[in-house]
Amino acid sequence: MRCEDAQPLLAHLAAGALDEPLRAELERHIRQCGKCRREYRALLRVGELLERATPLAPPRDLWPEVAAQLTPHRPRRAPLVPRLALPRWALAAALAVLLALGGFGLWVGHKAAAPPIAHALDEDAPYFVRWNAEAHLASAFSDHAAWSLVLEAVPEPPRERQS
Amino acid sequence: MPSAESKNQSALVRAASGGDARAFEELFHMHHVGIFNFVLHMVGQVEPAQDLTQATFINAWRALPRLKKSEAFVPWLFRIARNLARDYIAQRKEHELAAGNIANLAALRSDPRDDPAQQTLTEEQSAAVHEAIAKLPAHHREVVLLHHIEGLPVDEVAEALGVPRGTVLSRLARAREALRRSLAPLVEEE
Repeated sequence: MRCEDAQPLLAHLAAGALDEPLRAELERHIRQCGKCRREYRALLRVGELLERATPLAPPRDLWPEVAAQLTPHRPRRAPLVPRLALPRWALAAALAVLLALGGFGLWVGHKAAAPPIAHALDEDAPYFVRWNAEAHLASAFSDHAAWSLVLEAVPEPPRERQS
Repeated sequence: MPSAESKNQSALVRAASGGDARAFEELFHMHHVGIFNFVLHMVGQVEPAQDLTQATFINAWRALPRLKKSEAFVPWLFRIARNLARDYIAQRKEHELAAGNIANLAALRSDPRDDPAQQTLTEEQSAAVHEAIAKLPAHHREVVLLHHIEGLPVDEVAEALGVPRGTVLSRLARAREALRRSLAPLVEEE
């Protein structure tokens, strides 16, 4: 490393701002170069001066006026929903389980209780077909032969349905 | 491992957070000189610096119940001070005064360091150091005061100023270069 490369880095070295391998390279240069060594020592001495400088004290006692303004802390309002003393991961896991159970429940419920309208259509379809054919046979303008075929093809609904 | 001092401070912060004014008084006496120095170097005038120091602690007392980590108390306190000082500077338009000279600096007595083993500077040397700090640009002055004068670790300085650690290190290096020039008679070998 040359002096003109080393000089701008000396303050960074003194401030602890250089990482390896640059730091080691610069330190090697400082060991060999008197000019850079003197400059580096001066920079280190700045740090020593700063740390030995006494802070400036305020001329008056500041505490009494501060103390006079220390009103008691307002008590925290109790939360509407009491907080659970559980870690976040446990709450997240519990929520996931609840969601999974809820989803499963919905699925099972859906399977177990199919919409009543579907059952009604399944059971009543022959009845509606026969009722429709009978109605058309009663009309003077219908194709009586066709509707008779329909009545023959569609089985009669259970007796209680007809009542 | 946290030191006994920082453990004690954390206990004081927790007590003060729960409303213990005596604990808060101890915290005040531990940090008010540091806060005063910090805001004095920011605003450049003693009277406003004293008022801002008081305002910092009053605001801190009110906000303490909301402080989540007691270990973060010191950077948090300096952050409050910095915000108040910045508001003051913005309102008064006196930031030029802060850069370059601190009014009545000579009238201020020094506050001896806690560590008696630490060899302190003479009054004149100390004044020269404070004057050199006052001449730094504001963002360099802040890091020097917090790290070198108040002894905050680099990470806490970064937390107090809300900047990355690398930025703090870079500013410390630049500030050191500037101080090396202005303090040349004190740092150069004969």
